Amino acid sequence: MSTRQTYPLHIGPTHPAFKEPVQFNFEIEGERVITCDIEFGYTHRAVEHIARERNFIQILYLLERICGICSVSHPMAYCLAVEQAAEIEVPPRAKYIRTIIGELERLHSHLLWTGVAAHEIGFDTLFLYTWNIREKVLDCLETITGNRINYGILTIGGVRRDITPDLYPVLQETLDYYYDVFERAREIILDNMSIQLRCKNVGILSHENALAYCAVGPTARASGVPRDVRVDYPVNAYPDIEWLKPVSPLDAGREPRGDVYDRMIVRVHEIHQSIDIINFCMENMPEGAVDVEPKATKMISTLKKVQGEGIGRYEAPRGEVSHYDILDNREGPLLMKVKAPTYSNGITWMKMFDNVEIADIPIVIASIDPCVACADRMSFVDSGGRRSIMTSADLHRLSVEKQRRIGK
Amino acid sequence: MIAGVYKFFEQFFSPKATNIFPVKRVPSSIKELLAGGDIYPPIAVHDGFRGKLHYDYITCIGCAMCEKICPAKAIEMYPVVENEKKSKRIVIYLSRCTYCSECVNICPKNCLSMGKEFMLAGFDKYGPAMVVGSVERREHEVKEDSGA
Amino acid sequence: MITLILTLLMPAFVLVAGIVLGLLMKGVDRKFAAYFQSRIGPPVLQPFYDMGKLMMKQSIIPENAVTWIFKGAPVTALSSSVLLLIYIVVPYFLYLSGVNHFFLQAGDLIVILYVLAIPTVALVSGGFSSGSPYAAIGAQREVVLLMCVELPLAVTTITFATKMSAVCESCPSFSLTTIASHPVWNTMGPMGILGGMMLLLSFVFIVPAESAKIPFDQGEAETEIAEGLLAEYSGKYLAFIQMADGVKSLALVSLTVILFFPHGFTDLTGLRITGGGYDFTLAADVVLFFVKIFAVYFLLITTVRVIMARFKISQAAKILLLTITVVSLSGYMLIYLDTFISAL
Repeated sequence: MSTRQTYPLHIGPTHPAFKEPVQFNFEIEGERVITCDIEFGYTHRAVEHIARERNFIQILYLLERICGICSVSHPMAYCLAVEQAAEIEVPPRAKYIRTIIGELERLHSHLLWTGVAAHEIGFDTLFLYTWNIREKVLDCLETITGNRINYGILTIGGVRRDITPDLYPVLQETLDYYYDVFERAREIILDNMSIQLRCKNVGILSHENALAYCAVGPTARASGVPRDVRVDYPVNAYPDIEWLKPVSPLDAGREPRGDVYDRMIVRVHEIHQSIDIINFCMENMPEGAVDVEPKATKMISTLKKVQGEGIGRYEAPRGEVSHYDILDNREGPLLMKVKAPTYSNGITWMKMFDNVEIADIPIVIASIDPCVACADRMSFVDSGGRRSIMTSADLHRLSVEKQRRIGK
Repeated sequence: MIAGVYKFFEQFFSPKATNIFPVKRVPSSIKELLAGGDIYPPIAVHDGFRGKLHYDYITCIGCAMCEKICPAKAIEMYPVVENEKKSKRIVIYLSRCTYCSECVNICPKNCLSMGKEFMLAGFDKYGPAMVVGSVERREHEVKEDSGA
Repeated sequence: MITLILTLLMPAFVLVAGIVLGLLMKGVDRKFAAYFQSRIGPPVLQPFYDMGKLMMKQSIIPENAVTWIFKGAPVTALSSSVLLLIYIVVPYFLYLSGVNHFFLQAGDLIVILYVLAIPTVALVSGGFSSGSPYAAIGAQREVVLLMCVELPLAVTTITFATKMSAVCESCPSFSLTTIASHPVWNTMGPMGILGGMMLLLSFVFIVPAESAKIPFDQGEAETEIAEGLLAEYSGKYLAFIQMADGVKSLALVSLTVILFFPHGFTDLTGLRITGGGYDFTLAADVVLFFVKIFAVYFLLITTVRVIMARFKISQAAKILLLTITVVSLSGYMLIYLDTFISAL
């Protein structure tokens, strides 16, 4: 007869470990997690619905605000989708500038993540250290784009601002700073004993599970799945970079196990990769225009003539983000579908919570770099105060109904 | 084992990263501070920073392009009579503005520009500090049905 | 007469001074931790402002809490912390000032070991009685930690007692006065000094573990269980807990100082400060003691907590029960061998 005594533990929707609202319902035995259930849907903002009421240019600024940290990834995927549908060829210089901004964003996102992860395991000094060195890239982004976080630099058919030669020294100085500081930061983050104690063999996502649950981005790469949209489906300047390959824990001489430490290795090494990519783009920056059509009104009227659909895929710092847009002689897209990386990675939590302790919960949750607001796709409003859970059959039925409604 | 720790000891003695903006200690009155107290300077912004919008009432022709493009719907039109002709002018609600600078790009007369101010906190989101062009509006606005 | 005044006034004085000094140390700790993190940090007096604010605030008692335990726990923690401080500090200063008083016999290591557990037990019962699952988890962890840290601490105690019994056969070997009058380093050969170093190293872990600071703050663990034990405490009860924490840390640091660095001003310099017919050496001793306390607090609590992440409770138990116990046991062995060899 089993004498197991378990008790429920609810973490969330608001909890010091979370930056965004999501609820986890655990069944705990002692300090060990037995089962886990995840509830999304606390921060649904109906972005796709709002987008249908706006024109092509206005949507860019809406999409920037899907996620504060991936604020160039979502507009990038959207631009790629619309450009594919309208068959617009982006000038090469614009492609390079897009790459630079995207990589600068990856740099600051990974530094931010490292800080958050350190805070989750109670290492506040590292948290403040990484956030301190992150200031440099934010200042650089502010100089280049005019703002720290919501850059507003992308537009359909190019970029809105050129990186003029007088901005090169700023960029070069930033790169030099990071080349200089990287080795020491790597040492502090990866070689620290207490971090290794907390991160090794915790929250393991095996290679098979990473494939089965369609993990993307650093989460997949840490499990030994060489999946990187920049390599598999290169856009912007990435086709020109021959040495680009997905980062793997093997780069640090460690067999991929898919634990939190591997994800840390992947992200830290991607910081270096990003610096290299920016360096490459600066050295090989082509001359020419940065925009197909600088006037927004003309661009909208061009797109209004288009009928078709497009998919944009881009490797956001958290993984693959893809946008699907249908253009149908309107000022804005007829339909827009956003798939954020957390949508795929969030499901892998279920596997990562096998065999962990309560103390591991925050770092395991943080380890996929979740962006809950990106992943929330619907919220269930129930006036009677009853709770309902949608099954996949319900969701399918609702999708079909909506498709019919729009398609009319 | 505890690698990189010397870095933290180095930080102990080196200058601190904290910028004591806006003030070092809590002031006795926040209202006085906002009205123009002694504020420790923030980190300077660069050229091309997208800050508070500036609007030139004289050059504006009331074409409403900016109102159409504004993603945040922060721009409102009001009727005026200029040179004995009915026309329109704009006000910009900064509490809604997302500082994307699309209106600046689209303006055919270049009467909009982005400044470097970003300390825009205030108590009244419809007050003159938070609505660009509200002073001109009070002077020039005509009631639309007054002529009818 | 002087005995009576001392007996009545000393505890009251230690209560006030202990709380003030404990909070001040918390402030200095926060300031120095901020410096490590390249921040300016809060003012040194910030804990006092916090206390003032917490005292003004309403204390919310959870509906399903056991009210009398919940309310009693912080007061018990504070009073037992002060008692601990009295037990550790008063005999030391009595010894230094040369006053003959029955309190001289108070500083007994075994008693201190027991009193050291009371604040933790009080907080644990407060946590269990608050009816919050987070607090219950925090309380469980705190109990585990308490049990794990006892072993290395007991080994250290026995080491000192063994050493003292060898150094001074007529003195009570568990007494802090004996330890203070016979600094361990003075009578040891190289092997003994190495053993003393190992004991000191074990204190680098024991002091944070006893005072529940990172890397051993599993009971509170802000990002895991939302301040655990303290999750439901607010207002003046939280203020009491904060003060108890300050006083207990102070007591632990004082214990470390008295065990390892008990040298008074005269011991170090061989001088006595006199002027106007009065002897000011005690004042110099007090200043020296404060300097040592601040240095040890900085090294054992501030530095350790800024360069490490929080351990898991299983790892903390393993580290304390295995690694640190082995370190302190080998320290014991070395010191014992050293005494044995020198006796030959």
